[in-house]
Amino acid sequence: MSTIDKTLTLINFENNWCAQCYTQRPIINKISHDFNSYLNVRVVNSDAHPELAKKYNVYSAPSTILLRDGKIVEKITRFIDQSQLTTLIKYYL
Amino acid sequence: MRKYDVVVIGAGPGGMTAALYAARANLNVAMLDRGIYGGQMNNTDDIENYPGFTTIKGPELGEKMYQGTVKAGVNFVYGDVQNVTVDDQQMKHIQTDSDELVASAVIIATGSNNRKLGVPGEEKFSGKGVSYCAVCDGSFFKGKNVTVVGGGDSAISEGLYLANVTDGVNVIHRRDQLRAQKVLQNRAFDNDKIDFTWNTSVTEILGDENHVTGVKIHNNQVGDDTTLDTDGVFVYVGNFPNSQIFNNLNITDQAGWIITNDQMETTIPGIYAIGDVRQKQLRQITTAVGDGGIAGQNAFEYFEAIKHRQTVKD
Ligand SMILES: Cc1cc2nc3c(=O)[nH]c(=O)nc-3n(C[C@H](O)[C@H](O)[C@H](O)COP(=O)(O)OP(=O)(O)OC[C@H]3O[C@@H](n4cnc5c(N)ncnc54)[C@H](O)[C@@H]3O)c2cc1C
Repeated sequence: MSTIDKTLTLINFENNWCAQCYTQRPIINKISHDFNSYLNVRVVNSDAHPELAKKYNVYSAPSTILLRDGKIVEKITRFIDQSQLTTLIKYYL
Repeated sequence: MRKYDVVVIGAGPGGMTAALYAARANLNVAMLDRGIYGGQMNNTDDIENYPGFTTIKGPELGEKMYQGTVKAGVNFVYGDVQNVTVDDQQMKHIQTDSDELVASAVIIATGSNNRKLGVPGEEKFSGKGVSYCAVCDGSFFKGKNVTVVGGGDSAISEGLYLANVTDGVNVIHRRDQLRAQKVLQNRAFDNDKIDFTWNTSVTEILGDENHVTGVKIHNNQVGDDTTLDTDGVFVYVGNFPNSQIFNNLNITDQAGWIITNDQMETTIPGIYAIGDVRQKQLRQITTAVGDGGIAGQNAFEYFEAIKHRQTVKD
């Protein structure tokens, strides 16, 4: 993962088998676009990167993690809709 | 506000079949879903009882059904339906989280959702070791031991799937025998990686700040309480209908299952219900598909009858 130069980092864990990941994906894309100047966005396929799932203690897809200065500030272990995610990001910015 | 002849709510196997039949009858059809098409088939690994396929992965069957609806001209619309109302002209207004659709007929195919255990720790560790979808979350448990709670078809078939990806599966069931189909039972009994804890209920899910570490269990016969270590808990203890949004229509029984006749008609003309959300005996893909064909055809006849009445009036 590249170094974090923006204020916040969002990591979204997904895999090909999880139906809600398909619904989550466009929301993550939109958030990435809307907060482009402030937010690093990383989408991780948990099957391809089990070591990252382990590192962040992720056991469910989709899961979304927000890091501020490299520290986890939020961990959402289910689908999250756009308005809730937007509110969370604004709170931490 | 967009206008259609028929709106199908839910794009599981039932909804996709209803939409296919209605579209092939030349109706303008919208098929709404709040997630990806496929419904509960997306949460299923191998399907072995859908005719035409000796075995097929759930998401693959969903994709094939969806391609059929696209070819027939069905419009797939994303939306979380909030409620349905009927106006003086008998038109149905379908309110989603972002839009309103209007249609002559509505086919409800919202299916069902997994019932929770309702024990301490379940909510807290949901997504942190507690799961309701083996195919979504199973791969996070490679090299670990997991627990499956339940004894029906879903519990055993998903237990078999988990035995392939994890180190071991313990099935906890509150009775002394399984409800699952015999063929699944035999496969599970023959699988070295699956063992069973009988006559036992899970009373609490335990964990540290990050994830599940065990379950507290109660033996219903002996009456004693013990703790078992486990890394994950997969819950398959039945379903409840996704029908709360239709409460205003008064079309359900006390448990929330929608009541229909064998033509899939509810008590409201032009509103049909099909698949798992309906009060019925066998909730399967084949029966959802059967319901869908009947409702799609009847929605067409309903639409034609209205059109005819309209022409006579004019
Ligand atoms: C783990 C598991 C394994 C199974 N294995 C088998 C098997 O091997 N063989 C078999 O025949 N059956 C199996 N089943 C059962 C089968 O999946 C169901 O009977 C079938 O999917 C029911 O179809 P349906 O169209 O009625 O509803 P569902 O498949 O439940 O689809 C309902 C759809 O409605 C949508 N929806 C709900 N509410 C709203 C709303 N408010 N707004 C918009 N959309 C909404 C949902 O997102 C969903 O996509 C299994 C089920 C599970 C859980």
